[in-house]
Amino acid sequence: MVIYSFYIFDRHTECIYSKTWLPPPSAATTSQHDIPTNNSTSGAGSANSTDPHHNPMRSARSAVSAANKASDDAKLIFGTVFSLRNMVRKLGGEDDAFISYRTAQYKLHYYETASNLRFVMLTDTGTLSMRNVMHQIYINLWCEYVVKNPLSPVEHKGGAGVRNELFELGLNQFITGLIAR
Amino acid sequence: MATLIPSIACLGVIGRNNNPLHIQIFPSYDPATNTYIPARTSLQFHLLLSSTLDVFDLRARRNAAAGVGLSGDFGLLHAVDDRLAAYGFETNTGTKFVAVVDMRGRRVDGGRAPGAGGIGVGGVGTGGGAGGGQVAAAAASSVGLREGEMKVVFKAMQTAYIKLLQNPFFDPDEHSPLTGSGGKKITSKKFAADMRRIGENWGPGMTVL
Amino acid sequence: MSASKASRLGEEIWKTRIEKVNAELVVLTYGTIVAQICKDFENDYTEVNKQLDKMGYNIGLRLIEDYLAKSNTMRRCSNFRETAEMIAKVGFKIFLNVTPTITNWTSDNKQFSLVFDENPLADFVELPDDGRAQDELWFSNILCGVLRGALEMVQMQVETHFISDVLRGNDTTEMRVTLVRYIDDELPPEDD
Repeated sequence: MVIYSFYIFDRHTECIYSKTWLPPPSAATTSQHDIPTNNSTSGAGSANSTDPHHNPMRSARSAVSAANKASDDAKLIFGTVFSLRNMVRKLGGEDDAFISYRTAQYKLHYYETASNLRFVMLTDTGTLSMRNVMHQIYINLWCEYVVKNPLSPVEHKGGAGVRNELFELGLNQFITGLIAR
Repeated sequence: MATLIPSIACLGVIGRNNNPLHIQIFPSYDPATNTYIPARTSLQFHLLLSSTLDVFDLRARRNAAAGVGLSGDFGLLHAVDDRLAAYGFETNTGTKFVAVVDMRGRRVDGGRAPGAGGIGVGGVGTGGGAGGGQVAAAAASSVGLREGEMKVVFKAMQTAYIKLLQNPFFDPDEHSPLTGSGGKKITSKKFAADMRRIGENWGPGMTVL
Repeated sequence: MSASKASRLGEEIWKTRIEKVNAELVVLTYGTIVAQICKDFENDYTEVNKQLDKMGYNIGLRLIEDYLAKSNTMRRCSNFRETAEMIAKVGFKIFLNVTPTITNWTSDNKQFSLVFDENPLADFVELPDDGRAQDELWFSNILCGVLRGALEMVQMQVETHFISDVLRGNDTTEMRVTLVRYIDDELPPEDD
């Protein structure tokens, strides 16, 4: 199982958390993993500014563009899942929810809570449903470390308060544990 | 045939600064008029409670010297006359509870099941019924009170006092300021009602209040 | 979800998934907060009510996530009546271990009352004897805010207020909840 990236969107449709686990594909480095290319879809495997494979000469410039691209990716992903979700509801009724979709290159998993928090995860195509995994992230990591942290704001404008150490650590551990299995 | 048994004539709660927090007087049976009236005037009860303070102080000092703890049930503080006797209890925080018992405070009719609380004036309300049998038995067998007889009263008073302290709007500092003198009286209606219930219901031999 | 199923769910969560804490600690903490706010606002009880509601609102915004996580709620209530059942039999059950009675529905199913037979927040409390607190202070007003905040997060705008309180000498403690509207999904901003 390979997990490419993970996003959380709040009820104001803003991307409040994103994380990528794999270096982005680039012309210079060939990744051993099968990562979808950006022109194929809405941009899985978004740029990672700390990528060690980057040419140091380019890194300053690319850090800026990478950040821009990451936020663009997030917007694209949200747009996609939002439209899909609405379409699914229109066809299948208010209680229906879409779970995942798959392309030739990757699989996108979607999970939405009743409080309109949306979790999105991109994995390789062979991965089984990650809905449960995201539910666990919501219950055990999000609720425990972010919501119950009294110093973290309720609304996370620009991801404020979400990037706390415990959440980060817990998420990493959880995902690493999953991949190892 | 009617028997006279002990009842509570007055309950006093005294603060850390030896300031009166709450005093409630209960009527006793008066054979001359066959009615329930207070055994003493309010002023006399106040003086009586004041006079117990010296005993508290003395006992506390003696206990401290003997190393047997600072507080708890002090038992009989002093017997005023052949009718009235004052019993005391002090908490670790210096709040004192005093119960003045009238040894012939309540009339129980020997012939029928006694309903001590039912008779009389002065709002002797709901008492007696449950403990009636015990009351009569205790009264027949002993004159005066046995050791530890008042424990249940102080337990109940302490419970009521704790309940009072749990009220967030009750400010203990207001009632026994750290300056070491003075303090306001307790105005809580619930607390007063609890005290009234304890004073009216208690009789010798009771184990629950 | 039916009423009996909801109460079973509440009971189950309360028994298995809730960490318990000493009740006196909670009661004293809340009581002290209210008493302190009264002091801070010089017994302006209207303002105290407002502050309590605001605090509750901020709690509600967070508490809903915990509620959803603990109750494993995967879908929305299908109507406001179901929402009421879940609030009373699951929400109040798991956080306060009480189950208020739902009554006095209006015919349009948008307004109901929660009647509290017991109110753990108000144990031991006697309102100040200043002649105004009895008429102006809603001691447990924080609950109104909690409900308002929590429901807003699941896209229901409600109006909540107490209409009676045993602390004031009323026979019951009753909270009125009114559904104002369902909040629409927010749309992503248009790209420019």
